[in-house]
Amino acid sequence: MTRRPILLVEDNPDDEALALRAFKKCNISNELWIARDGAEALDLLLGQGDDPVHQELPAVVLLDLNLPKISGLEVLRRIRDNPETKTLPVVILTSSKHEEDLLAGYELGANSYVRKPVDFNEFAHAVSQLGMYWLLLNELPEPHGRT
Amino acid sequence: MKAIFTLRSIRHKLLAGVLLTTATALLILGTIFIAYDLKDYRNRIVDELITQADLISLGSTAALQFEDRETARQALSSLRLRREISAAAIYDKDGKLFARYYSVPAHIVDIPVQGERQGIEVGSETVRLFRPIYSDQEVVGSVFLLAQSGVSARTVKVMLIFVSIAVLALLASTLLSSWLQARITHPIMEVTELARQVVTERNYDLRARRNSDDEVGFLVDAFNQMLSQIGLRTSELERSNEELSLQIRERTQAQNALRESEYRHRTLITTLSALTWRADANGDFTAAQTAWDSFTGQTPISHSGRGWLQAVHPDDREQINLLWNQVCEESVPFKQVFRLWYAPEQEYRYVNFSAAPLIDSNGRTLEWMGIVDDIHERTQAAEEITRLNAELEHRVRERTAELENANRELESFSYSVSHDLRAPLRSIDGFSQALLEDYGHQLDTTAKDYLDRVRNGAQRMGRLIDDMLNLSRVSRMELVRRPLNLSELATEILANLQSAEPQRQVRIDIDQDLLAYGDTRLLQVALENLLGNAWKYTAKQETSEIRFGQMEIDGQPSFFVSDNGAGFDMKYADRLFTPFQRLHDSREFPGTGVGLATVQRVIRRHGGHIWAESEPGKGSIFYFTLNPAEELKHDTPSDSAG
Repeated sequence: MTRRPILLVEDNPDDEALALRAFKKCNISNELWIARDGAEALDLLLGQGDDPVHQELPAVVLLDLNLPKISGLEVLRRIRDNPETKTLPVVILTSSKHEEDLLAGYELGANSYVRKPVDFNEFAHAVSQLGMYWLLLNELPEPHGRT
Repeated sequence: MKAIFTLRSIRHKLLAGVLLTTATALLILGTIFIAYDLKDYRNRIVDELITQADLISLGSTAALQFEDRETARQALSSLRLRREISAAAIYDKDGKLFARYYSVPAHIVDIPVQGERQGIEVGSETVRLFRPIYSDQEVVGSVFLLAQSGVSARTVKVMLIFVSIAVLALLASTLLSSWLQARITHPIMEVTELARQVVTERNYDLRARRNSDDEVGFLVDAFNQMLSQIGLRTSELERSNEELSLQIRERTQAQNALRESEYRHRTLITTLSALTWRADANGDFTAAQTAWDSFTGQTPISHSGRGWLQAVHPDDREQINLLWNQVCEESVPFKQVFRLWYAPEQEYRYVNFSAAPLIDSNGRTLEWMGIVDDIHERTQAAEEITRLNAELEHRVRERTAELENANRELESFSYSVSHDLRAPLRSIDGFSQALLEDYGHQLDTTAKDYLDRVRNGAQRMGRLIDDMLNLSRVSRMELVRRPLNLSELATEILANLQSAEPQRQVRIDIDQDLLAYGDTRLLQVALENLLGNAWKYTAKQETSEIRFGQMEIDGQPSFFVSDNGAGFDMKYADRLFTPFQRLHDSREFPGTGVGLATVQRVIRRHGGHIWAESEPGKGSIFYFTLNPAEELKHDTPSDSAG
């Protein structure tokens, strides 16, 4: 299991707390980065110019779509536009079940699209599945330039 | 005589002539003969009586002289030998009866008392004769004789003879006439009969037979010749008649055609709302243009030459003038719409002015003629239509923009519903769960039950939101039709349901290869709901029976989903497809009441319709049809808002 952190882009503090609870419940102990809007998320990943906050890239980005400042889809587009982050696994985790969002997400290069269920148990289950896949099973190319 | 000649047939005339001639001859002959014979007869009788009287007078001269009556009586009695003499007497010179004789006493009265000297009286029956008796040239007395004359008997006899002769003669002449007839009249009759035949039958090929070389024969020849001449002439006449009648017929037809054509054209002209005009080869109006003048109010003086252009709207005049000059030079048909002054209404009206040149065989323009068609109303109407169309288009654009706006708003609304309404629900559910997990030991059963209810409510609301979104998505989604196999779709859906609840005993019966032409995603949603309902409402049966098939209803292929589940009361059937309307207790059969509304939208968008039959406790059957071609994007405006 990779020890690299997980980036959660989520503006809703309740959802953030529930997500944390779900991670804990699933025994995912990776470091969790939190970004509360799109701009923050991009700062974390790409930094301002050559000064990234973090030295390494997360194992996976859990991206909400409905975000203040910069929307989730725009964040995704910029991630994919950047050569350093274009292979970064991005999972869209959102309330929206909109076809348009789903299509746009995949067109912009999302690796997965997961809808947050109302039922917490289902949510926890989904998170557990996500962690299992992205942290345990998925093989990532060696991150370059930052390690 | 007249009657004879009026007899019609020559035969009769001839017969009558012969008989008349014969009769006349006989009559004359007979009269003369009878008259002569009777006269001769009388003369002979008288002579005989005179001789007899003379004989008696000789024998009685002496007796008279001697007054010897006996001798005289004896002389008279010798007359007994002459039967025809009925009485006789001798008188003396004084005329006194001297002696008498009678054959029968009856004749006594016939003897005159006083004698006469001389005299003869011849009657039709008797002859009375007095004869003097001489002695030496001296009259000494006279003799009287009365005899039967026999004239009437003789007359009768002679007449009889004559009549017999006459009858014989007439008979002979009749025979003679018949013979003559055969020789003379028969050929004439033949010719006559033939002539009648020719006249009635108009057959000029008949010929009379020639039987003799006489005048009749010549007549027959002449007749035959005449016939052949007539026949020849007649056939010639008939031929020329036929030719003539053919020519007449042709001419009549031509005349009729001409008249009809003329009538057609005249009718056409009068029925045309258009007016006609004529111009000379130069395109100048000729004198009389009554129709033009009554339209434009011009006069023969004002319209003459190019004066007619003054009736054209000033804005169009220059262009028309130029065009007209060019057209007149080129001698080509011309058509132009412009505004022309209409005097009765004192306004310019749009007219269609068309002109055509009349060109002779040498290619020279003889004159121009044409029509002016008032198309003002039409033009106005066309302009009005254009204006209305533009307005309509504008309104459609406006309305479309409004609709697009509304749609966008609706979309953002449903987006925010799906996004923002669900987030708090997740918090409610998630933290209720956290409470239960982290602080469950501090809570009693009632508190835990309440928290469960909070979670259930949140999850139920989540489902409601999802279903509502689904319903609106089904209405708004673009319909993409393709052929699909509903049987396969149904099989898959039921397999999923079965795998979710493997403990259920369900008998599934799906007709093979039920094909449809529709949107896969939408029909998937519809079947999921229908089969899901069947699955749900048969949950309390020991063995559920679910059937999906097709049958013909009112001549239309209809799909159906039937089950042996809880069913429903048909009096609530009209509420089945209304969103959020439920016929069952949600504790017994959970649900949001949006499923069938969603199904109905899908079916309606496919141009079909859906209905149901059921009875509580006896299962239900849902029928639906799919129109293979028609697409109804939105069922009703009020529905599409939901």
